[in-house]
Amino acid sequence: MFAVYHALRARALAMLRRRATPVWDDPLHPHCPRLVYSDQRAPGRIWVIAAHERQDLVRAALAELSGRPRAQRPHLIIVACDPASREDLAIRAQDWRSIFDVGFEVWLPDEPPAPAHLASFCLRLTHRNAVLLSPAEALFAQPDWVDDAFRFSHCSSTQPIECSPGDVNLNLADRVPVLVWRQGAATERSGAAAFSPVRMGPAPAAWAPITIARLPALTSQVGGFRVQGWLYRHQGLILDIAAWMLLLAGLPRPPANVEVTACFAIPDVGLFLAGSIIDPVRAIKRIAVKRWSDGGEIDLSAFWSRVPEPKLDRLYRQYHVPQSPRGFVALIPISAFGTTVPTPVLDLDVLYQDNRCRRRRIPVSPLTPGVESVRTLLAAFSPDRIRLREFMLRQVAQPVERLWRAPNQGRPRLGAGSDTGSDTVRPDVVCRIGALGDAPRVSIIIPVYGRWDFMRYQMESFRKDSSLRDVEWIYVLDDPRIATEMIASAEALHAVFGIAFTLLYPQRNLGFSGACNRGAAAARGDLLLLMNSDVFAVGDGWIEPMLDALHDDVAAVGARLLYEDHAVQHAGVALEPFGPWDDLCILTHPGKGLPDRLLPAVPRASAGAGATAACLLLRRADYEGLGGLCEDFVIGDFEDGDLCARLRRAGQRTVITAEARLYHLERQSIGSMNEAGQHGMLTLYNCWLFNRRIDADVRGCSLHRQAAAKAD
Amino acid sequence: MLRVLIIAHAHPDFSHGGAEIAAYQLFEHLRKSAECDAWFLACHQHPGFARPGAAFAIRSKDQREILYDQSTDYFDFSASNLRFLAFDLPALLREIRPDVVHFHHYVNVGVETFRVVRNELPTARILLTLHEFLAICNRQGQMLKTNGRLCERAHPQDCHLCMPERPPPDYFLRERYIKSLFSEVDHFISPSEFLKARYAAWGLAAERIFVIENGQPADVIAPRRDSGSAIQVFGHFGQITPYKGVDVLLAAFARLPARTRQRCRLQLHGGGHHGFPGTFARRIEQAIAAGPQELIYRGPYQPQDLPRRMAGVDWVIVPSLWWENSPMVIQEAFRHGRPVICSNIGGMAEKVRDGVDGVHFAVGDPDALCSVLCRIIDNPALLDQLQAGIAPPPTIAATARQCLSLYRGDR
Repeated sequence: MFAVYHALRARALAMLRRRATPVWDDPLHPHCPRLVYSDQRAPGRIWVIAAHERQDLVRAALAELSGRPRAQRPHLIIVACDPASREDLAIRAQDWRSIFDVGFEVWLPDEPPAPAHLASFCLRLTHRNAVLLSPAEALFAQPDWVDDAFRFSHCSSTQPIECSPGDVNLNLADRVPVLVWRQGAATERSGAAAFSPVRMGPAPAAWAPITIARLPALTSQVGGFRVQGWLYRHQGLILDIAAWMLLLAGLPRPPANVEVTACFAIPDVGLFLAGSIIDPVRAIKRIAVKRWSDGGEIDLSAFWSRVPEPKLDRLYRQYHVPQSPRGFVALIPISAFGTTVPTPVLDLDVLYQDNRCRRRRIPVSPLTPGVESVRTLLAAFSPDRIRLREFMLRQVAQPVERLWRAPNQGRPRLGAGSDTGSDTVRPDVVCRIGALGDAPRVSIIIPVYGRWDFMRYQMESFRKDSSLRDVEWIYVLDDPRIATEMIASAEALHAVFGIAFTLLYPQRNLGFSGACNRGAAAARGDLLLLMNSDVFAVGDGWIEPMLDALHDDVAAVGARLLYEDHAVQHAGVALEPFGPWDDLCILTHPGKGLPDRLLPAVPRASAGAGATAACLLLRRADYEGLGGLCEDFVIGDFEDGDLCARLRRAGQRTVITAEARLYHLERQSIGSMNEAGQHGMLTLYNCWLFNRRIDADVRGCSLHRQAAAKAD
Repeated sequence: MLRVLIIAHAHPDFSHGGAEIAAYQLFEHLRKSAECDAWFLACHQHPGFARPGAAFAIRSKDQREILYDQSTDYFDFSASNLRFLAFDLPALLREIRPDVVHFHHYVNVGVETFRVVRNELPTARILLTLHEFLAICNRQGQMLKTNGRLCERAHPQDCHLCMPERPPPDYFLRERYIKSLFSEVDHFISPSEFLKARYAAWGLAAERIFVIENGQPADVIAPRRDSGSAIQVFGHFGQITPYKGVDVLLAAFARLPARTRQRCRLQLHGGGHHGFPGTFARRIEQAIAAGPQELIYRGPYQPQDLPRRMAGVDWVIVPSLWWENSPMVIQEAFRHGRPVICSNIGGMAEKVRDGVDGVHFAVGDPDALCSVLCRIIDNPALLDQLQAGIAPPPTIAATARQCLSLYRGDR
């Protein structure tokens, strides 16, 4: 038994020695994604904090530091060492920065750094006097903070030792192995004494020390210095190492698996694959897709992006296995296959280190253009938010664009009139209800989706307003599910409320942009007022101040919109870079939720970025000149920010008149659309598209990210 | 004009705890006062009230009562909705620009809020009214151990032994974290000397803690019962929970000699025992069902019912097993001129003077309570004597005056 074991181990060691050491690739390279929440480096020392699952410890460390005078605060670098909570950390960091008013950096490596990586990272910072701490220790970095309650927790060393070149002493608490490091030679400490001073959380049932230091192959060069580590790991790692040995010894059934959860053929674009890879011991050498035209192979890794796989991450975290994100998303363009993507099945070859190969046959589902296909596609994976820009561009942009835009192809373009002749889809149904006046001044365009019963409330709230005499009402029915009912009730609505209106039905769901553009094409007024179906008057006469504000270089006028309790829903829109989404700019509503009476007529934070199209007044000439709202945004989101950005580029301004007050019961009309998950992904896509379209404008406002190379 | 923002963990329209009622009553008084521009912010956790990206909803026509979508972790009272705390709350503070921010709790609000307020308003005065021992004790803030013993002080090791789910360092970190954020508070207000002493022993500077009793509204006073009646009526008011000592009361009552018992009645006002898991609810129900006919269960009541209910009793019994701070029921009893029979510990022993306006008995001891009841029934003159000794509790106006002097920095 022992003989077999030793033989396996010897063989494993031999293979380890031969192989390059991918395990030790430094994930904390200078181009590692990071968020920088400080533009000034505190003089003096730098603290590197290893953040694991217990993010409350990071928070506690920040709270302690925020209580110190600014001059005495070290510069903090928080390294995310737990892949499963990396995105959470990125999101929380932004809030912590504002709550505690402490500057820091968050490094978000793709792979969790091993202690040796952290050591070498600190060494690179050594000339700035860095010290590596676990969050718990960061709390106690001043000896006088340590009191009775701390001492009883079995610890021998409570004071971290500051780094100086050539002499690093690292204590990583919290399930991370203790690492003692000296230049030239390793100094061994007894396990008990060197053990982490404060190990948080209940101890796992079985802590089994493995002295990897006795495996000479793992003594490697890091940062030009010899590093030797002693790892205390949970059972899972022992199992994995055993599995590794078995694998290297050439036993059958390698403990690795490739799971494909989505395989879509996108017309004219290519093949979209999403799935996960379980490979704790790096047994897989290559994953290849078979090309049927010539029998050749396509290396999947040339096309994929690795993404988090939350379920697997949690599973692996239980076993303390450091690993890269285990999901993948790959868009293989049609050109890689030759002329056409393989259907109805795809052959996927998984090639292992020992050159064995396993073939999987995967059904390919073709996606037909349409909004449902967009939803299906976006629901099939979780995105890489840390590298969102690149991820969207590489994997998601083309398929979504193709699936969303195709049904709208040949649509009547704005300004081109509705009789282009190339319209291959069904024509608009147009009902004119009641006697429409001649030459209206303003055309109010209201797309209706979902709750059409709001029309009643809306008409009743605008009916008596004498300032709305010479307006034209255009309702665009954007929801086939309610078409029959709504068309049938139109005459009755007119009879009760006395408002004449045009009902436009394009016979499918175009989204907010498409519906507004259809409405604008049918409008007769010189001014357009885009309005949501859940906007209601607070009092009469609201349109006058909006009309008054539309002069000179002001091309668009928004209103102050209120919730039913008079909390502010909209008082202007601002652009704000959002670190956790790769610094994409999001649109925020400054003052949202505040009591209306508290907010000054001119918002303090300059709205700058524009106004919501829930109630937006423009000149028809400007609107048509810009080609209307951009219809590339799926369903609706960000198209108004985009319109205002294009106006701004044309040298025109958007303003908000606080005198025009209306209710906007936000999202009440589209409640049914807000289905879990997919909507979030749709927002993410629209946000990315918005940023791409206005990139030139907002690049300058990206406050957070600093040039990565600067660190060196 | 002094601009005051009162922050509470809940709005009394949705929950009836003593702390939120006290906070709201203070706000109501200040709202009417000419020298104050008062605002009220109360946390809520109703998903239906929440609106995407908006932290606040508005409760009152004048827009001064604002609901804040926030909750906290129960262990260290760290705010759950970080974005609202980090960005929306400062925006509100910027618009209100209060001179004084008076917190009436940190549960649901989040202890980090003190720092956010301090960062946003460096010169504002920050006050915190303490209502129980939550910062000290993670067990409902009662300093009552899981083994039923009274707890004298928190210590990470002792807390771990009491609640072994977490190791001692977690309790240590919790205490550090809360204290570190409490350092932003200028003045603490404690409704009782006892609570003040506990927080001072825990580590807050005693000179920063002021004792101000939560005032009582001046509304209808229940008339005295006919003193000629030969039958004395005892009443228990409030939620029936395991810590309120109702089982002690029921046991004591059952032990009364039958003849003595015929000369008295015991009324239980309040409910809530059904919400407790395990055998507690069943035990109470059985004790009530099997109890003597002199025991009457009157069930839950609304605050406005209290004078009517109080009118039917001569004595109020407060047999709590935990320390209590300044129980509202004692103040209510005194406002209606009812002497109080209470456990001889903590806030109860402080607020009720033995032999002056009430009687003490050994906490948790049915025999002691039984003999006290016997003594009272056998000596009907005691009721008049103790009634004469009752000093009326402070009114809300008196409390507000004291708070205002703190707001202005007079003390």
